Amino acid sequence: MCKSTLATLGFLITVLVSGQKTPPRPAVPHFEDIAAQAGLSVPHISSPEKRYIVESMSGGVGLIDCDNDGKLDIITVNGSTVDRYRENGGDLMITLYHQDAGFKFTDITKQAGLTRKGWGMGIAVADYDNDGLPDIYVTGYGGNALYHNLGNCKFEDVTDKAGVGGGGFSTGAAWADYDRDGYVDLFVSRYVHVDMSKLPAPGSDAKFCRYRGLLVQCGPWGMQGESDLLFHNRGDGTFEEVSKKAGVDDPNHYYGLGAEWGDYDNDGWPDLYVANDAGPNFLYHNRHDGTFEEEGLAQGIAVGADGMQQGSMGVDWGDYDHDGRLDMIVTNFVDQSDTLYRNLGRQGFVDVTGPSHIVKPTYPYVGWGTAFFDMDNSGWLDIFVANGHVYPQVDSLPGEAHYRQPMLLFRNQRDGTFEEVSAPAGLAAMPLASRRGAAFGEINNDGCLDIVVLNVGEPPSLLLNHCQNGNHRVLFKLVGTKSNRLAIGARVTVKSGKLVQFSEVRSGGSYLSQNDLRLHFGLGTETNMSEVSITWPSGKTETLHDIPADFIYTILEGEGIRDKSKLPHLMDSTILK
Amino acid sequence: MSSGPSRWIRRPEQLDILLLADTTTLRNRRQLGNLICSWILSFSLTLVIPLTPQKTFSQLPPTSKTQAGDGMREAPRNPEQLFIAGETALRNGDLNRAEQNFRRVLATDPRSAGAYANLGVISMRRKQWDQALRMLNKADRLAPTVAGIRLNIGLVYYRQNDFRSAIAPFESVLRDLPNSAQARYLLGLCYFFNERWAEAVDTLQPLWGEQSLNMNYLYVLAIAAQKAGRTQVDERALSRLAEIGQDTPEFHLLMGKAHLNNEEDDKALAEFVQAAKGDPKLPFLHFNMGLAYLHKQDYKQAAQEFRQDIAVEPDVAFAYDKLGTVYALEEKDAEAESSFRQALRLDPHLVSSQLGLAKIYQKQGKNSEALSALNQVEKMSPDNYTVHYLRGQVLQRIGQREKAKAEFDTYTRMMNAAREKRGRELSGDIPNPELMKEPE
Repeated sequence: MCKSTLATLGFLITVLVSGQKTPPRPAVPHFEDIAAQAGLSVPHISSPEKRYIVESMSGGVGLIDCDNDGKLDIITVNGSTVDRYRENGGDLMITLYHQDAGFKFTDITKQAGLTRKGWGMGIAVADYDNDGLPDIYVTGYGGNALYHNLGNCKFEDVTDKAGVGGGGFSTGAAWADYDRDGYVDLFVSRYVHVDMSKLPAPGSDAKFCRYRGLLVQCGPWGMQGESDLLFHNRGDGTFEEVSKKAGVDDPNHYYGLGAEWGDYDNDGWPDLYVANDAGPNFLYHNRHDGTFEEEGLAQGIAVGADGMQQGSMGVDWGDYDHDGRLDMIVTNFVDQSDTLYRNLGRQGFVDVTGPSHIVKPTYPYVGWGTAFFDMDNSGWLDIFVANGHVYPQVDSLPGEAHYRQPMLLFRNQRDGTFEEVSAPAGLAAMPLASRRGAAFGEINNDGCLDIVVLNVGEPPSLLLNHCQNGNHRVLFKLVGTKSNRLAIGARVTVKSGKLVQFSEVRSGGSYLSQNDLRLHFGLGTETNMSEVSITWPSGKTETLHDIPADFIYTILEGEGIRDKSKLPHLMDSTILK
Repeated sequence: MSSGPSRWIRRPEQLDILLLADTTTLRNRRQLGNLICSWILSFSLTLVIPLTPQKTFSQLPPTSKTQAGDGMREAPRNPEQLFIAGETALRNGDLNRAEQNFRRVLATDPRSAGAYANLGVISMRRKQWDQALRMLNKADRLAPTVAGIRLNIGLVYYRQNDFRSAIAPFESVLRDLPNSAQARYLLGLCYFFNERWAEAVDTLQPLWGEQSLNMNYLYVLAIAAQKAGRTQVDERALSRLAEIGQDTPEFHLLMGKAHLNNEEDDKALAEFVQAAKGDPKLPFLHFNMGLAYLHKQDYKQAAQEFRQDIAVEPDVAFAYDKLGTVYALEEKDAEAESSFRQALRLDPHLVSSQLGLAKIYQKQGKNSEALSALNQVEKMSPDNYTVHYLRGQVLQRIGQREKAKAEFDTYTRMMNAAREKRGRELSGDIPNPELMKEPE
């Protein structure tokens, strides 16, 4: 008998590619990491040992068109180390890459004026002053930053003036106009209280600084959590912190991470979901009066099906089953599996992780960045998860899932289940890394959603989606007039053939990350949309009819389509191939 | 005596004999201690037949309270005779007559620890665990120095899979009787099921001399040693396991379970297939195959395996319970309900099946049925926080928001307390129904 067979504790990663179901579906798209060729070369800063919890949690990535040239630019948070933070106040919080011609990116961080130092954690993009230019909010340990976009990717640090510095250990950030006054407001989740002068040594507590017998960083167990923040936009460039008044301050000080707004009850008002590490997640229902009611437990979306609290990290809303209601995917710590909640409407949410077949692949990993996204333009939302452990020390445990872990991709089988397709998509063959945030968007404007992923201690990955399958698709860039300018919170519903799907413009989500603000819809074989309906944050609804597929449309609130650009035929999408 | 391959898994009917053996020597409160002591000391873990006491009650001098003849001329027998009659009836499996006799003993001698203890045994054989515990606790209060009573108290918890509660009585027995192999084995298993790996190793290792041919023992010891990082013990146990296991179906089943515990489902299945080639009706073989397929999310095949296990052992509740779980995952609510109900018919204390029913009813909006099922779960498992979580959701749904809030508050309180107590939740909770039975 082979001793190692018993001593091995880890999962065998079994990739099961089950047989095709009817109707026939396109081949799984192939993803290629072209970060190095594209010029994304700045490594994330992180200590190799991760002796303290603050060294394990960074961070997010973001997509922004900072100069409105129609091409997405990329932001990555930089992280830091305890030593660098103590000595120099940390590092530049983010790196901004501008997308140049030929799909090349250039680091323009310093020229752009993004020079605040600290310990970058997360990113959220919004136009807080409605000047038509996307601004950047960065969360971090020891203070956050708001960068006002001056045009042409030049930014001004207006953190102090705006009053959104936050402080503490801020993680998630998400913008939304929760009171529908036309200005976006800002929610910030916070994690644990870390005193840089009194950092607990790894392994110093037998209960809170151990993992499977290893001496590891302390926390979050045993550490004091921090409250969350809500900044109400006064409309004059300044904000008021109203979390307590609004009922979203988290008096229990759970360990807040990913946060995302979404109108889960279809009442036209943005609600808020907050992932807490090792605690119940929050679902804040918007009461339309500037206050919220926490309904996570009551709605069945705070914990797992058996009431087990999970170590939740990343989040995303999406209607994966086309029932007209937002469902939720949450990524979790190792040995918990990620959780898929199906929205039943008045019956609340039900944990369908088991029936959906995502337990087994996600169980051995620590999940972070995630999204519902239509990888093959089929009209059905698939799921991506970035994984990576928090303790590098686990590499010394035989059989355990390692510190560096694979990414996971699930294809929607259109019957409530998902099929793990990481291998045929090329993800399983990519080098392992300890990954965190993931952002999703049309980075090369070819009509297939691409992914940027943060790799701890390394340069990011840019996963270009080669989805040449002939399916049709469309993108909508929304511009608010009465509503906030980037139309954050707007909902677009598309009817094409028999399929009805919807999505919302969101700022923040995944794990501390920012997706493309343009809404993408796969249309399958449909070349036309019979109806496109836009519900703006102002409450106004506009409906367009007979809209051709395969365009990027710019729609101005109250004025319909103002601009459009043709997407390439997918077979012509040979960029960088 | 070794537990050969054909006996490596105990059958339920054998267990009652063991329980009877535990207490049929209980005579009266004076002689209890010595008798049980001598019995325990001579107890072999592989002994499953009732022991004949060295001295019978009737041979002992009556106590003043149990003196025959004093004002009891109308009684058909004196307490000594009643006790012997009860004992005989118990040995013959006539539980009603045995109970009647022991109760008549108590009517005359309400401080007869032996009568209470044997009434406890009768309840154990009837699987009336609460009643058994009441009787045994009374016996224990009357005869606190008698380790055998505490051993049975531990067994009552053990039989209900409440391994955490069983630890204290078994520990106390082992403190009093450090050479008690049975208490040691049971305590070791309780540590094992509570994931107290190092304590499991320390407790089980001294049994090596008499148990090193017992594959179950070796398997448990190897797993515990591996989890505790005790490499030498791990390797020693595995080597012996390989040595005695050879190519037997039982050996392959154990190897499969080891892989299953390590979450190596394909390797586990390969071993199970080997086991099936040798003995397709090996108890729990298809149950474990079902678990492997369940892990692989191959629900159709998992259900098939659980059904096969049921065909082999139709009276074991666990396969019905897991079959219900698979059906629930497939959202086949009617089939799931039916399976859970069958599991509960076989084992009314199976919390997971009752909870499974509650979840189905909750999902279906059958609120009163859900609440009823949850009440049952709460009775069976008062520390179960899931009850309060699910009940809160049901109450919320029917508009009882205040009550729902109270349930959620209770849930949160319990969850936090459990979290504090247990610390980090560990992985590898593979059900081990075959190991949860008392060792021979």
